[in-house]
Amino acid sequence: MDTPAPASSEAPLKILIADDNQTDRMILSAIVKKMGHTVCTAEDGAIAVEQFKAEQPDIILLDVMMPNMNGQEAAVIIKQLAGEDMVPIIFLTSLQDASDLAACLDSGGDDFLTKPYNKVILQAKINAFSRMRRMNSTLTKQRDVIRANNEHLMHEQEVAKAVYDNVAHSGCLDSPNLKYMLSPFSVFNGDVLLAARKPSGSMHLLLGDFTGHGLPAAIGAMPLAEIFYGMTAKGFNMADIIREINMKLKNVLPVGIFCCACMVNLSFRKQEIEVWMGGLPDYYLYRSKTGELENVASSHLPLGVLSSSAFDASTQKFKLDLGDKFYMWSDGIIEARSPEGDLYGEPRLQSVFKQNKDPEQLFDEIVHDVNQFVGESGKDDDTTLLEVTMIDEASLGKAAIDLSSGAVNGPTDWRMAYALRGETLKTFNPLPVMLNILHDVPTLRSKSGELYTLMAELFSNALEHGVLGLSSELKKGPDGFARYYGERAKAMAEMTDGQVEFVFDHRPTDKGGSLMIRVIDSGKGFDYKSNINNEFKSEGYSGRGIPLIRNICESIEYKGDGNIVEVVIKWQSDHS
Amino acid sequence: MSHLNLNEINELKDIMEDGFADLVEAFVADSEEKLAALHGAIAEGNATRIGELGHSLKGASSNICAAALADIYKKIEAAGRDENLDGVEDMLSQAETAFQEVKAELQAL
Amino acid sequence: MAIGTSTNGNELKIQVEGRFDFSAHQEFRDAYEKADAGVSMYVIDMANATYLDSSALGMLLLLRDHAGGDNSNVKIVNCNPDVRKILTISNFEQLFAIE
Repeated sequence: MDTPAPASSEAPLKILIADDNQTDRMILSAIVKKMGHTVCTAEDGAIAVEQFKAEQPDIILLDVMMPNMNGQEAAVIIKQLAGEDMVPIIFLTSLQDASDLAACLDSGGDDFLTKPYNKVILQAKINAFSRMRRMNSTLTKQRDVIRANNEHLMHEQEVAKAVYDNVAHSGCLDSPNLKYMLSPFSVFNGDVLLAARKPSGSMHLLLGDFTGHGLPAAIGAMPLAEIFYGMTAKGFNMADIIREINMKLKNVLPVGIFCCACMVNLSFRKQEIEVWMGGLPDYYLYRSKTGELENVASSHLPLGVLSSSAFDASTQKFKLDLGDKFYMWSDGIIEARSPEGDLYGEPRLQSVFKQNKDPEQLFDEIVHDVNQFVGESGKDDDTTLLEVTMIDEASLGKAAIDLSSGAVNGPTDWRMAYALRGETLKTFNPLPVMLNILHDVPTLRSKSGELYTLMAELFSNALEHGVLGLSSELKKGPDGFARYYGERAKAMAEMTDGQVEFVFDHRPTDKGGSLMIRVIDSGKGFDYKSNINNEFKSEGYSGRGIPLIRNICESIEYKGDGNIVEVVIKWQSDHS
Repeated sequence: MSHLNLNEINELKDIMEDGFADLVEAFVADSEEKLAALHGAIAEGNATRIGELGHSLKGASSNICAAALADIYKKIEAAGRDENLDGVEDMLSQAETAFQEVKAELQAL
Repeated sequence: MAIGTSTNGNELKIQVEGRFDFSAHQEFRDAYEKADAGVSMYVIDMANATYLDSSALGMLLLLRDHAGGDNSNVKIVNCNPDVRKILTISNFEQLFAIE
């Protein structure tokens, strides 16, 4: 029905009067017309239905007892025809019995008017139903607008999800040492799970839990993912990345919105895990040898709260054995609810660990236990779970660094020198910047991992053994590493004018290219001439990592006082 | 004794305005037609029809503010509904007499 | 969820009753935005608060920002163990004095 609703209570309505008695029709018509409304009439139920179709009245006065089709039958048909529209039907009746009157209403009538007709009551009822009709029409229109808006929003969310997936898909969550559970709609509950390999082979992981759901959370996840993947691929260390992410979120998110997060640097070479946690509940470190759980707690505020100057990027480090596992989750696991409303809680989680017999089944057992607990009460979309296992790097395969950015034809005949001095040498990590320049040479990109490892070793040697004068002997023994890093911190604090300089010289060859890297430190050097024969003893040279460098380079040569090292890398072009 | 309640009639005139005369005419014509039909129904002993006609005439008389007349029709309606037609002819005579009186009073207004 | 306020000189005390979650958003904000301009100390009394979620943490951050950010003086007092735990996990004692 398309009858437009009258704008005010004085707007005239069209009223259908159906009664088999002429005097009834005449009197009712007179009363209704006096109110300013227009009238159409019918003498029986069948005609009343036809009139309804033809005239589309706003309100109907319907006699109960009529020949041909009585009022109740007519009411049923008219209500069906009206559909969603509200067309009030007032039965006209001389019935007095309450159950008879109730039966009238049951058949589809909205009210009744008893004879003899009281003009005042009839007018009041017409006004009341007119108001109801207008309200119903308004509600229907509003509902339609809301429905259309909602469909629009749903569509927008699907687009947002597709865009988000493209940003997140370059991760390595399918690595053999990772098991994870993540809702496909995680972008809309504020949960983020990212994984990527560094050029050095280490693995960065990030689990984020934004406050709020839906689009605000998704928007925060975008710059976070971009920074994570971009900086990890370039070889930045974890502290720099988490600092950058915090700054970005602080700038982008409104006050009161933040991201609880855990970032992890998993070093396979050092068999070590480095953790930064802000605002998340305790995580567990599972020791495969003893089956024991260690708690790892958040020591920081969530991301996006503190300004850069106040932000603390300090991390916790743990040595891991092969098979040790680290468990990360959003609070959706601990706070998952059963159909009765009980909380899953930490004790239940801990008992899964206690009852476990085979560590490789742990992840599945946890997932199973949580799902069983939650049952059918809407499997919570907020459950994100990640299991990280320390494994041998060899079983991981080479890091597939996404280096699709970069020129196709790059510079092949060039030289560059980059030196860090004094305070800058203490705080700035030059490796990502230098690696970035090397990436401009197309064939060097595929060697990114090796180059990073190489430069990291050379820089570390030049800084620690060269400038700071630390001896690799310190690393020996059970407390070796702790002692070494303690000495290192002390020496760094005392250093004032050390210098490390990198010189790169790249030349094309007829088969491909050749890169010379020379590293010069301001230290005293060492007696390299007498140590040449020992260079294959990996223990003796654990500090200088020489065998490692040897595998990557064509040649390695010490010069000067031992404070200059020169390596050459050669390769062939792939375009054959 | 007047059949018509003067207050009610005035209210009705108020509602009908210029249409009052038409209403009276319609009432008279309708009643005469239905009274004739009632004769037939009683002759046939058609209780259902007697009930329907009695009901209709009752409503019309009540509308025109002729309460006493309406009461007579009410009895006729009841007789028909209960299928107890004893004395229904007498009721019809009473109704016809009363109707003539009402008709006269209406036309005198 | 109800908010009660009382002022004592330059200190504004805000009492939180029941669940401190997103539904309290407007009320909580009105409590400190509509207070007198001379307020320089804020005390959030959690004695009757039963529960605190991440949107409540966000509201506390908004209050801190309003109160002067790093120069603000905001205390959170009378926390029950559940409330305390949530504040501890988030390390909010780095931003608020918690008793």
